[in-house]
Amino acid sequence: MKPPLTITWLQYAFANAVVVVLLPLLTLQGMPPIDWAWSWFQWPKAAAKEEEEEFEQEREPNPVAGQIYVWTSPLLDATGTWTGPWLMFAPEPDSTNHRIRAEIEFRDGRQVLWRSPEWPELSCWRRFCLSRDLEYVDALGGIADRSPEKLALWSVLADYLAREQRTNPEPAGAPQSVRFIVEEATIANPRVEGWQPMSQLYPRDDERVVMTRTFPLPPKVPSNKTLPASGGAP
Amino acid sequence: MIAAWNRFFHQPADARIPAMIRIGLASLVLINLTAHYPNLEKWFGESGVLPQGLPHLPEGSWQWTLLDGVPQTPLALQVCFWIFVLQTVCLLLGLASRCSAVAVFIWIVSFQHRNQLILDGEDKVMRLIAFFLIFMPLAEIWSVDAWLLRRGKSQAEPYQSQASPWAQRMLQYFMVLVMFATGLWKFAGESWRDGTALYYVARIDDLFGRFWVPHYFFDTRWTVRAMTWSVLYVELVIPFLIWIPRARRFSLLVLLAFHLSNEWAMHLFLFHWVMLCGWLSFLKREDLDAVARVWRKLTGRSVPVRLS
Repeated sequence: MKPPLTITWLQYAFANAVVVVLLPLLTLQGMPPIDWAWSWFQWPKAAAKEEEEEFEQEREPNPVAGQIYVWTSPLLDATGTWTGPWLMFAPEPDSTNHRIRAEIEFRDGRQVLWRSPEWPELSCWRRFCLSRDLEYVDALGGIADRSPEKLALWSVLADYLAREQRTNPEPAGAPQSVRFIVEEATIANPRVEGWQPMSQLYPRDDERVVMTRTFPLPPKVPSNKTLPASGGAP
Repeated sequence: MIAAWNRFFHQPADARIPAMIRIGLASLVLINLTAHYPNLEKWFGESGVLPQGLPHLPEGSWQWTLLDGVPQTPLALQVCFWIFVLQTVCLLLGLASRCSAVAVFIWIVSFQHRNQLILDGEDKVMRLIAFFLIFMPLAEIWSVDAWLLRRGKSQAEPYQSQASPWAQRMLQYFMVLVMFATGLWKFAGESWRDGTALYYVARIDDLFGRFWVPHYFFDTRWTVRAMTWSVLYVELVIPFLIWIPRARRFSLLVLLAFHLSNEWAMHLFLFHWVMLCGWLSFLKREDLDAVARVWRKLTGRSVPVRLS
C-alpha cells in the first residue's frame, strides 16, 4: 500500500490499523446479534406454533458475538471506546412512568418526605438542569428490580438523603430510618385496552416499598462535643 | 482497491469541517459541564450518591478514571473540574488543539467512568466524537494555533486541508452505525413493527412534552403509525442513502428535521445536538460554499469563501 503524499508512513500505518481494528469492534458492540435482529423473519412461523411470550424467551444472545465481545472488551474499556448496544427506545419503548418517594425519620421525631421530581410540573429549563436526576432515577430501576447491586445503590441514596435533610446536628437529630417507595403507572397496551387520549393521566396506583434503611444508634460523644453538622448517616 | 481505500480515508478534504466539529463538541461539553456544576459533589463526590466504597466500574473491566487517583475531597474534585473546563475552552479556541483534544477526551472518560448511573446515549456519542477528534486536523483553520502559525502569511487555498481525514471518515461511519444499529434493535421490537411505539413514547411523562405538540398526532392510530414507521425509515434507510452523492443533501436535511423535531418534542438533554455535531462530518465544501452564498444574499455581507 502506498501512502498518499500528505501523510507519513507511520501516520498511514497507524491510521489504517485503527480503522481496521476499531470499525469492526464498534459494529460488534452496537449492532444486535444477527440471529436476534432478524428473528422477525421467523415471526409468522413461530407465532403459529407457540405463544408470543414463549417465543420471546427463546431469544438467546449469540454465543459467538458474546465471546468476541469478552475478548475485545479490555481494549475498548482501556481506550474509552466502549459503547454497548445502541438501545434507544428499543427494542420496546418504556411502558411505565415511575417516581420515588422517601420517608425519612430522625431520632428527634422529625419526619421528612422527599420525592423525586414531578417532571410534567417542571419548566423546560428545570427539566434541562435536572436531566441527570432523570437518568439517575431511571438507573435505580422500578418496582421489579431488586438485585443486590440496586439495593446497594438505594442504601447509599438513603445515606445521602439523610445527610441532606438533617437539620439537627446533635446526636438526637441523627437519622433513624429511610423508607423508599416506588410509585409506578403502566401505560396500557393500546391493542388490548384501546387507544387512550394523550391528555389522560395515568394514576401511579402500583406502589411498593423497595427498601428500608435503618441506621444504628450514633456513637455516644462527650457532652462538650457535637457531631459535625453535615454528618449523620453512619 | 488500495486506491479507493486511500481516496476514501486519506484524500484531504475541507479544513472547515473538523474545525466545526471541534467548536461544536467543545461548546456541548461546556454546556454539559455547566449543567453538572451545581451537583458536582452529588454525582462524583465522596459524600454523593456513589462514594468510592461502592463499585463504580463494572467488575473485571479495564475501565479507568483519573478521579480514582486524586484525593477524595471536594477541593480535589473542584480542581479536576476546572482543569477540564479550562482544557475544553482551549479546545474551543483551538489553542494547543491536539493536546487539548487528548485532555478533553481523558476528562470525559474519567467523569463518565466515575458515575455511569447518570449516563445516556448522548454521553457515549460525545465520548466517541471526542476520541475521533483527537486524530482530526484541528489546527488548520479557525483556531488560535492556525492564527499563530500563519501570522503575516497569506494562503491561496485557506480552506483546503493538508492532512488525511481518516478520523472524520471514522466519525461518519460511527454516526451511521449508531443510527442503523438502533433502527435494527427497534425493528426487533413488536411495537415498532406494528406502529404503536410512539403511542408509548408520547406517554412517558419524564421525557415527552418539551414544547407543545398537537395531541391529535399521538391520539390517532394512523398518524402514530406513520410517525413510528417514519422513525424506522430514517434509522434504517438514511444510513445507506447518505453515502450516495446525489442523496447526501437530502439525507442530511431529513436528519436535521428528525433531530430538531425530536428536540422540540422531547427532553433528551443534549442528545440531538451531539448527534447533529457528529453529522457535521458529512458536510462537504460545496455545502459550506452554498451556505455562505445564501448568507451573503440574505445579509448583503461578504464572506471570505472560495466559490469554485
